[in-house]
Amino acid sequence: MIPYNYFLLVTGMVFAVAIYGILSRRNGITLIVSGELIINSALINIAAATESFNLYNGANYVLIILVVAVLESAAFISLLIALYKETGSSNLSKLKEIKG
Amino acid sequence: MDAYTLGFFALSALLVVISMLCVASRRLVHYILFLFLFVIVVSAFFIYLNAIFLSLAELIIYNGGIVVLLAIAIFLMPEGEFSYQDKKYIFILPLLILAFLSFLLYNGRANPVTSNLNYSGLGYSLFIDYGPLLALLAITAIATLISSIYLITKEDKHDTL
Repeated sequence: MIPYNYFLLVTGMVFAVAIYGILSRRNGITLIVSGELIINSALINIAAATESFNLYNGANYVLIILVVAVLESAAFISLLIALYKETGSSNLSKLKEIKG
Repeated sequence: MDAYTLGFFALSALLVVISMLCVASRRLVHYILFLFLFVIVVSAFFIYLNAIFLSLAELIIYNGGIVVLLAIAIFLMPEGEFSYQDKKYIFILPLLILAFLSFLLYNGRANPVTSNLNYSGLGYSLFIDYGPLLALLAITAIATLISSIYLITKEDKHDTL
């Protein structure tokens, strides 16, 4: 049997990689994808905890978090498209140009 | 080492390698391709954890929704390649996080993951215990849809002046 710690370690690695992805880029799409990596690592974590502690609620939480993540991504992509219309780029550094 | 343990290590290696490839790729299309693969591995992880419904939901929602939406967004915003930032010491914070997590997990003890949970009553539990929350989510989804349509179809300020 795999200890629960191992799942936490794997998802921690993915989390660290995604944090690097967020810090190293300024492109909006890469920011969304790195955020999705973080959310998915959290989902694996919750599913493993659900199995480990035999608690049923975790599966419900995973489904609800999935839906919220989709809504968040859709809203962020529409904001990115609005930014692209204004500045001609999806680089988040361009947000300074439309300040005020 | 039995097949169950071997499967866990294979899936873990795939998950970490694909996430690294995803972050390291320089073209946006490759980014989306690796996200696609990553979601497939995550759903395999859910199957490994005996949560087949969750794995199907993950595949349908992410690969059917988010990845396609991101692909459309890339076609709308053609930029091609993009570069890294100039800062040299960005990798320190992720390494610190990973070291701290590894230290905590090395010292802690935890139950083994047994996969004995029965998911047959998941729908009942979701709609009975979390019904109001689902209604709130539905309203939020409609609000997100309307605001997204408004943001995308809004005319440019410079054209109207």
